[in-house]
Amino acid sequence: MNRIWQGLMCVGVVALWQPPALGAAPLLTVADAEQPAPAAPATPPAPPVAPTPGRGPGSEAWSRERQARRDAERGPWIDSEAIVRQFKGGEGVTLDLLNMLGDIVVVGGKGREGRLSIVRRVQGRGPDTDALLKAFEIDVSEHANRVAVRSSLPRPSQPPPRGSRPRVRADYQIALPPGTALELKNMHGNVTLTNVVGDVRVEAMAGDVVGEALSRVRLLRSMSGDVMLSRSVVEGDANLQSVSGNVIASGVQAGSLTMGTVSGTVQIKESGSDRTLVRTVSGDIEFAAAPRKAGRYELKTHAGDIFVFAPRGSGFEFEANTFKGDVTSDVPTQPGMTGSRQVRGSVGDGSAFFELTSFTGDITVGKKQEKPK
Amino acid sequence: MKCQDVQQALDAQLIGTLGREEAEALDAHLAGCAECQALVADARRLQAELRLLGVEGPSPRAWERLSARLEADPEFQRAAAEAVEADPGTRRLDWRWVALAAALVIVIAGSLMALRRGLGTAPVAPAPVVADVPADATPGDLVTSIESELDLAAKHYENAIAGLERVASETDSPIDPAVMATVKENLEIIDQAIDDSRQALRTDPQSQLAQESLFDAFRRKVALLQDTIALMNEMRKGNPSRATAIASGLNKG
Repeated sequence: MNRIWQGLMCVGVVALWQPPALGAAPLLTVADAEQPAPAAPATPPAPPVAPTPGRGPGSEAWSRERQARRDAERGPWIDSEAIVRQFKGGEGVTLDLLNMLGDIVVVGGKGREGRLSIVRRVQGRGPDTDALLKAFEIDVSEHANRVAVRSSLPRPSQPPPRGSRPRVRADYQIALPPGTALELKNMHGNVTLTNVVGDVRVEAMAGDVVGEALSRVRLLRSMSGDVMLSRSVVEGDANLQSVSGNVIASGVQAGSLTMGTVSGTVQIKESGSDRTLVRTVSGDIEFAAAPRKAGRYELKTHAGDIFVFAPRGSGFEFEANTFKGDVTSDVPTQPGMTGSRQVRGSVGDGSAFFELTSFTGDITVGKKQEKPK
Repeated sequence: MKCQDVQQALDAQLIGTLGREEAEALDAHLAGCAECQALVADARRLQAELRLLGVEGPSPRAWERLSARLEADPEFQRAAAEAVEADPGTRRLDWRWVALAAALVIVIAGSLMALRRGLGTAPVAPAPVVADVPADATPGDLVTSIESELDLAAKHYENAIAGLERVASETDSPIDPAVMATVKENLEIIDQAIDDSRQALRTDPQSQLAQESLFDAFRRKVALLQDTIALMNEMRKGNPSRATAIASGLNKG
């Protein structure tokens, strides 16, 4: 076993290593601009953060109110013409996109030709607004099997006063060929992915990340927004993470599910996996699905409540542990080995196993898919 | 397969090099050996916990190199055997905590180094990379190295928190104030979990639940910090001058 922990000490080094790009033929061509442009944003992209108490300076509520006031002061968004780029995708090709502000919609396409449709927008009232829009550039470059897309934000020589500062954003609509890997980082704005057949890794700072019909989900993460995956059959592990937002898997079949958030809620609905690992700090965990035979489900929270509702006819064992909370179940249970706050129970053939831990919250296990009153 | 073979088989399984026949032999042994079952459960739990950190695990090549070096070191084998004999009751807990702590050290320091390397700023305290331990290092050197790395990580950690708080409080920060407020409030939630767990350990020092809860909260805080730094690192690509200021903030303690 010494080899194991010694070996694990080098994982950080390995995790940080990035393989160098390999040489390959050019992938990009410039397409004509007569393509449908992404729709204008209905509203400025306010970071969709979970509500938290407190309205004093520095709190989320205070920050959002201040942001709303500034948006009103800045005036309307002004659009540029759409930029359209085509690229060759497919297995072995990665689309690497970093965006600072804007919404991104990715749809799985056909064939090997992918398309980026980009609309730049500036919000402001000052005389420099038009010039800023012209100077706001999107760099699309090719590096071997990697298509890199970056926005270049111009900075004025003389910063305007706070509050009158214009904002720039780029909204994307992307058609992604099957097999193309996607590495996407969006700082502000929502990301929507549909029917993407390829490795997907999406990280957002402020905004929701929503995936549907995805097949290879390496990571969907938002710092300050919800993360949702639905109607997907995922090869291997699907990793969904947030900080303040809710994390939801609905109608997902995966080899394993890894989900986590600090203060949001984790929900697993009508989904299946051989292994499920959920962690929250203050958020609740709700599992409402049929466990797989021999499946293992580890749900752990510090201060949230845990609800497990398995449909009638399913078989599972569970062990519920809490330091301060209560355990409630409508299935036969018996005290565990470590006292009254550890409870074990078994339903049907007991083939699946749930390990449920809430330090200060309550744990509820039921056979019906509804919360007990 | 015998108990003494399980460790090697488990190592191979963890890195994906275990053959089908060996896997079947391992399963057959585990079916009748509670002690080895516990060993495997701990190893898999550790893997899962590392996965939560976004750490996939060592590459087979790195693993083989490290294993070969350790196996070739009779002093290490002797010291390891002595350590197990001295305190067999805590053997499993010890290696798990040490391994996780070491992984955290590397992840934190790696994030900060990546941020600074990307910015091209002046070099700071070196990242605690285990692979930098000399090939002829003794077991004592390794232990000392881990301890010093943990100390160094704690300093990095405190500096990073202080830097983040400075950035969050600056009125000119390019980072959305709502996002920074979210991060800050969630760090406070985690701090509350840490306090709860510590309080519970004062009243019930033997509580494994409290121990694990404390560790989970600590790990989550580190992960949140790492994610924040990584995103800051990306933001510099859109606003290099501002990111330099962020790195400067992180560098102050």
